[in-house]
Amino acid sequence: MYPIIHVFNFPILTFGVLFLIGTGAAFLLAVQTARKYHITTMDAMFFGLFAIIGGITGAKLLYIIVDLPNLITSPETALIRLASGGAVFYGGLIGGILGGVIYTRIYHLDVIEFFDIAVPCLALAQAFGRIGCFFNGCCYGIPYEGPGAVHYPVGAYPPSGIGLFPAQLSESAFLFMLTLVLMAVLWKSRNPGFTTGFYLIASGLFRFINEFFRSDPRGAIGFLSTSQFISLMIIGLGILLILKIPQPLYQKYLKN
Amino acid sequence: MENYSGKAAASLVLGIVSVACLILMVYVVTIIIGVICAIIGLILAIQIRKAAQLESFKPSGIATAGLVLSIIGLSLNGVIALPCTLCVICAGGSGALSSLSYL
Repeated sequence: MYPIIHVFNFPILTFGVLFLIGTGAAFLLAVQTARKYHITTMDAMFFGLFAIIGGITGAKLLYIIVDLPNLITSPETALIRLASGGAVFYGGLIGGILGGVIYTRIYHLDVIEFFDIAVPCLALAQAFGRIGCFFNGCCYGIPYEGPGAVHYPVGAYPPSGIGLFPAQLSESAFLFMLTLVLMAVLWKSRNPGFTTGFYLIASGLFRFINEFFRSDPRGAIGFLSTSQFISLMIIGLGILLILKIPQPLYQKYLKN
Repeated sequence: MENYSGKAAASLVLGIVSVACLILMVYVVTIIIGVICAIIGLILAIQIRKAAQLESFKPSGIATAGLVLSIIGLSLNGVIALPCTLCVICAGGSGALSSLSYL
């Protein structure tokens, strides 16, 4: 829709603005969620910053690895792509998780408690990010002409001239609601890891179902999309956390 | 606290450099320098803050300025360097890279 907005004739990426708003909102929410386990605001903030550092580093490192042949043959164009958007999502995800884990290991903190307080914030940041996806035009839905159908203009990334299912906005709405639910679950939960498990199951299930309503080009593994395949693994991990299987292993072997 | 004055100064300088990279942006590649400087400056500033909490001293103004500038530099440089990281998996990219980005 509006992938770029102009402020005083200066082009700004709409996704970037929403990403910053989402990150800021997530940090503000972390001040509240940190109270559950009596974690200081500073520790919550620094955990988030380490996760962001890890995410950026992981995304860029994995991009460098997969784009190494181009980097060697034409370094100038490869560097420009690296600087202006070259990144791999799963590198960012793994890097973000590792960044947070590294922070808790350095300062001898309980990583499962930190993930519990982080998941409502992560859901909130994702919700804003999905609005950014809507404006950017990626992750678009299947052809659809019912209530809420979205029509993209000519020149946008999604096909124009037809109505599309608002897959990005539906996921954003779900994530906003999930944030509220996770806050309630966090406050009522008695076991570290339960909130994280709940988030993984809920977001994994929704993502699996929402993928059937998307028609943008993306990878596939068999008859499932890549994201659906990964969602199944995420749901499995969430079930393990709900059943309290990883937590005693962490306490016994990894915490100290 | 004397052990941290060098780190504080380094954090401040790196924070200034990362913000300067954003403002100058003569070449897009300066964004990479900005992100790297911001990351290192932020790690140093966080080290000082945690040490201040654990050893009960007040961090200097230089350390605080380094933290703030590094956060600003990282967030703004990062936004330019990662315009739609979450959407790389769904935007498709081009050719082999699109399949590789699904890793």
